[in-house]
Amino acid sequence: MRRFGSAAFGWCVATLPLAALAATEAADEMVEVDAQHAEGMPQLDPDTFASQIFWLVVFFALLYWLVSRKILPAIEQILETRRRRIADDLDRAAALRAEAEEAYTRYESGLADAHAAAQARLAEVRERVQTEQAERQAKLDADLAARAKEAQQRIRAAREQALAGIDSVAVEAARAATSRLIGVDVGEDEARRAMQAVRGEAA
Amino acid sequence: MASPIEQFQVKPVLPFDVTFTNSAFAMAVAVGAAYLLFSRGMRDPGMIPSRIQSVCEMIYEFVRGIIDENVGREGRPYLPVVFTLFLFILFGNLLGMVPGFFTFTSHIIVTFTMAVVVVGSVTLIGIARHGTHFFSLFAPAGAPKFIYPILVPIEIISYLIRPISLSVRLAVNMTAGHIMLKSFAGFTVAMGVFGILPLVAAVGLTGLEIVIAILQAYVFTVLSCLYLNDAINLH
Repeated sequence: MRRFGSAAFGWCVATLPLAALAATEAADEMVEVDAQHAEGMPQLDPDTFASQIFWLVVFFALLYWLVSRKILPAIEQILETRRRRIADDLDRAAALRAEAEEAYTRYESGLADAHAAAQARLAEVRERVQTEQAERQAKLDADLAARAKEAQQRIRAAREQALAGIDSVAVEAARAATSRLIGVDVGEDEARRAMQAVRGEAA
Repeated sequence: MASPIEQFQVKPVLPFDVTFTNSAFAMAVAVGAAYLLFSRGMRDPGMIPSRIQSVCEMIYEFVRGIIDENVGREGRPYLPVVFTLFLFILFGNLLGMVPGFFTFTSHIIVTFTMAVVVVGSVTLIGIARHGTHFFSLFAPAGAPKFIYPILVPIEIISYLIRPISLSVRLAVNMTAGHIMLKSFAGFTVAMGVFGILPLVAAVGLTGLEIVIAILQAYVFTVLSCLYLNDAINLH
């Protein structure tokens, strides 16, 4: 398409000398008319037409050549380079972002794993502590029960001993009381029997 | 009877006059200035453009934008021609604003030649792309059949008039502006002390003329692209 555009353009340029020739011929015919009012607009003086068309074609073609061969390629190249650079930078940014997201996901899953492990460990420790405590509690209970039983036995023995002691004290007291109150000396055995009878009544 | 010394007569070889005039010189300077700008701007193009490089890139993107908006992607192959057209007219117009410099775009024959080349090329492109279907351009679809006898001649005339309207617009704008500037400059000299008034006006007009110089280059380019669009996409 570009080639055709240039070809069409070239065709029109090539026909211009012919047009210029025609213009010159027309100008020759108009010379007499023109000479009569030479003070008119110079733009309408056909004598200059051929030369202006000729140099227009020359310089337009020169500029076209410069534009299509030098100017446009230079500009398009730098614009393309800049466009590619920007696209590359964007691509790299996207890649870095994906990488960062992946790292974040990895970190998240690592954190979750560590959390789960810690929880499991904690549960295990808690269980062990509970069983240990239960065992120790049981042992302690048993120990305490044994000691309580021993203490009770000891208390009972002491009480029996004490009660036995109390009997003789009570017998002595009873004998002393009777001798003082009624002046009768009661025998020790008799006093003991009496007291045991009283205790039997009380019991 | 031929004189023996007639053989020494110096005569033009070409059937037409190709004298290198001030007009031709102005065209040469315009092309030189345009090339100078771009060769300086793109000498060592950087990823971050220098100021002059930005100007070059802006002009390029401006012209490419005109093509993209008015023709579309299929207009891209014509970028070099359109770009040349824009630069040539722009530099011709702007150099004309330099006092004492010749404005070749004020000459109807110059603008007319460019307009004829544009419309002629565009017509050839249209015929090459669409064959005889190209001539449906003169019978817009959707119009009622009974107005075709009026519509088609009008469309044909408006098509044929394109080179004239395109060229006259540019040349007359340039001519009128420069005549006005010159007149005010003349008043400034003639009015002595009071010449300050037309001088102020001339300063304002110079700014306006610079805007018009750029605007007319743009208008010529846009219209060329619209014609190209007609040829490529029909209606």
